[in-house]
Amino acid sequence: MGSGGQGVVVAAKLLADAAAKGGYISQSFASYGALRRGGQVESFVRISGSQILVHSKMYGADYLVIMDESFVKKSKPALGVKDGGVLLINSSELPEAFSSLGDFKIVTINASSIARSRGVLLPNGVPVINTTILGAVVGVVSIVNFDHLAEAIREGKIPVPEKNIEAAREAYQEVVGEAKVAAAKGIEGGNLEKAAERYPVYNRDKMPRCNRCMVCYIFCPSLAISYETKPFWLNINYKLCERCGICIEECPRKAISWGVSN
Amino acid sequence: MTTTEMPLRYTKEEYIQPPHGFCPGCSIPSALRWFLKVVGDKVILLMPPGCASPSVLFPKRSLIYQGRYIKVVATPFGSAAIFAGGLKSALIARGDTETQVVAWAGDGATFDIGLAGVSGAAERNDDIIYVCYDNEAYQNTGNQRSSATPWGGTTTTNPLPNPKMEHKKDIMSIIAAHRIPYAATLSTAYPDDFMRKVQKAKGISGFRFLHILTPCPAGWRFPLELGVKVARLAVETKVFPLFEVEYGDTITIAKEPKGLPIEEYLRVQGRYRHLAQEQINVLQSEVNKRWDRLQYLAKYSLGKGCFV
Amino acid sequence: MIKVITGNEAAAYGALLSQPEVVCAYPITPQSQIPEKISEFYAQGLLKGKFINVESEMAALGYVTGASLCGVRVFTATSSQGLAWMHEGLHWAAGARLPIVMANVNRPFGAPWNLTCDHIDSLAQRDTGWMQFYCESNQEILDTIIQAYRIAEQVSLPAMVCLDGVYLSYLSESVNIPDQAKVDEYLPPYDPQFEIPGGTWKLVDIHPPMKGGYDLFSPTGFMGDRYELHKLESRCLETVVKADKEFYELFGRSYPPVEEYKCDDADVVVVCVGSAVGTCRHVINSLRNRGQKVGLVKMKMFRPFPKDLVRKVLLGRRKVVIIERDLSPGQCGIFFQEIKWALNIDYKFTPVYGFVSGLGGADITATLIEKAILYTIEQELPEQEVIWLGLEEKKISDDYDRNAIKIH
Repeated sequence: MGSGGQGVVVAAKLLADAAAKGGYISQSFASYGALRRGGQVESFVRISGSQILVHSKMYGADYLVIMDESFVKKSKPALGVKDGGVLLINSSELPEAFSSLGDFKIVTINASSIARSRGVLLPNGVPVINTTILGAVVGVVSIVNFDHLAEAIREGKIPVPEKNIEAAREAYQEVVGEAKVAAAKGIEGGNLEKAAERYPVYNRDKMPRCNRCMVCYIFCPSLAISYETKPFWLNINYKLCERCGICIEECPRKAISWGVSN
Repeated sequence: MTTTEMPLRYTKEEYIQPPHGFCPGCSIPSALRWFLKVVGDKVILLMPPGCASPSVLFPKRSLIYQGRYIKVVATPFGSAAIFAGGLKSALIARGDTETQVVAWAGDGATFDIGLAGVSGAAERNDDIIYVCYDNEAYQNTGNQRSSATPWGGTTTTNPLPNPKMEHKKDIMSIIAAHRIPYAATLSTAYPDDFMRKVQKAKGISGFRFLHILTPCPAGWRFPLELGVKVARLAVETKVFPLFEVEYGDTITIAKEPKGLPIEEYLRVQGRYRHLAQEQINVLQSEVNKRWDRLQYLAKYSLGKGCFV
Repeated sequence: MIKVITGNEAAAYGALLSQPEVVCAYPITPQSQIPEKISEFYAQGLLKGKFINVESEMAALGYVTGASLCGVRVFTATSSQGLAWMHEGLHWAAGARLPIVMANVNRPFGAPWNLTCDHIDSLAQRDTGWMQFYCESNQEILDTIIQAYRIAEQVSLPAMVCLDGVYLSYLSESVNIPDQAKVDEYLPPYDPQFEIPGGTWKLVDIHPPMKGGYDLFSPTGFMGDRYELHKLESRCLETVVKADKEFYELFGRSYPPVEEYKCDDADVVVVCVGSAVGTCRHVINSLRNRGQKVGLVKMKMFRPFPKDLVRKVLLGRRKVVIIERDLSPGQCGIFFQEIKWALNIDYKFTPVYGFVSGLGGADITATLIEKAILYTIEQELPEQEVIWLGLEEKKISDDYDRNAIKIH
């Protein structure tokens, strides 16, 4: 379960491919929420030694992978996982932080930070975590072999496959217990996801800069920039801003530039 | 002039209430935003399947003005112009001559499956504004080829080694040949020119056709920040000249392009990365040919005869 | 070779293995991956020629109809709205006896818009004369397309292979992709010739194919042609059964037009279509383990309607439960209608319970199926033609018919 754009569907397909390489019969499937970016997406994987008959969505999974922890932090949604099942959550926090969700075995993995450190990123700096978290999944679901996952990633038209495999391997090793600093990483993590993420900054104070040409305002595809008059001021709404960079590219005076949050 | 006296260059009125569902960096919301800033909220938009209709309706309806939804009808794929004509007739029958009926359709719905519908509406001179936002493929279903895909372009239904070997359909010639009162090309890199043309179209009655080139970063494969630059290069390299046609025989060139070589436009886009020099030359010569023809017609037509 | 592929990819592989000579399709959700995958095959040189892009579905069917008139094997694919765009052409192709094979991804019609799963689109074309086959799994999709060519070319009628939108089209499953050589053994090249006075002719020369001459617009001629078409359709079943038997001998997999599953001593028999059949099997297994005598009938072939097989397996049962994914509004489910008609002979009465479920992609879960079966077991007789299964109460208006039976 994750948000649109995180690669939830591809993750399920790769896992099914990896399971099939191990001789199992597998099935992967997806349920789309809003059919647009940002909406909740769920994908399902069934792995079996015999023919899989059922063709419906999943309501009582053995393992639930949560790629976007905001879904379980803001509210307690219907998780579709059996009591006593396993929750694998992409988070910098320790498993105890999620104990209120119910009677589940909880494993956390900071897939965002691992992916970032291995260079598995989108052009705007946001880490792509689906392959990393699959490494952790394979560690938890022991019937799937990591090497098969690596093969599936190579064959699955994933860009920069080797980086993805290394990120997945790191997550796998952490979950399986071979890396020692799991706990320390969890505490230090904090908001690593937001670190080094760039966003546009309006530099009004560095004069002479902005000449109020309003180019940034009129070109912003997300309508994130609004203006006030008397005195003139530009507001950037960072909740709407998609970090596309058009305002920075088009500003004739370089009055808007990339800032990096810390 | 102090900052407090500077006139507002663009009206503060917004008819799109973000967040909308368009992809980050998409140029279609800019086109829709500028269009509505001129036309206002007394409008009914007819959107066939494509990028625009799901994006203004999901994840939430985003065409809202002063707390009221702007009317959007999601029509069947080939029927935008047809529904629009019918809707306008109904409004006129009830005495409403102010509401603009606007078909907001993509290149797939205009150039391909809906072409007969557009032709019929143009021939009847239905009093509607037909806007075609052109991202040169069926982008919403995942970048499949349309007849608006340019020569040499790759899509999922003509992947390498078979890029499209037919030149982009010259939709403006086809529509202008119907002798409609106003047809124009618009660009998402020139907001003032864009809004001027929409203002002009608003004041004319009869069938008005607006063709907007809306670059798609996902389908054309360029970095998000170049969204406006790609649109600008399309105009400056004469790939997408800005002009207006009235009654099929009066052509006005809206902007003299700098005449940059087409490589500048092609090399920023991943969908053209495979082109060899001979192929680039083919594209350059086609672009030159169409531009020369346009200039010639602009000079000599001026109400003298048929455009095509 | 076993690959984990989606239903759309399975359809594309089925088409690839059948080696059509002209392929033309228009994209529509949830079918778009079929033309995309086939374009990839062309790009890789696995198919000769090139993938034809057209401007609408009407054009897609028209294009392959034109090609088929010249006696070549063709393929196209579409879904719901697109299938409706082709409606006129569907009648034409069947009337012209052209063995076109089309993959249809089942999705409902707007308004309101819905991009998931419903069988109304292909069922609304049941009067066109096309053969219709419904698939339960991705393996079956691939195999059925190959079989469809064999059947269509033998009887000379077009065939529609239907797969559930989203539940099969976007679902990835392990599929055994057969070798081209084996498929070539099963499916010989298509090159129809007809002997008529004056020599051997190809189909286009004697079109429309009518025995004894060409009676354009003549009422008796048209009626005679429809008599011939009806006769032809009535004899399809034996070809279908034979094709399936030969498929089993070569590939080891069989898909009977009407399949019985654990029906031998069943009191209650469930009839189902499409991907939900798999889920039904699972429920039947589970109920059998608990001592219930239930069985399943999978309707694979819907047109021409295999009424003899349906009668053989369903007449005389204590109860027949139909769980279908379609509705003829104001009437009842379409499979319910047709099966009830088939069972209504010799004044025997077989109680048939019609459950309408899963419209517009609503999930047909094992829990719902089990509830439907248990409800049926408790009822004496069916009370209404439509029993709503899995309808979300909060989505309907307050003054809805209070007599309607709903099961959640």
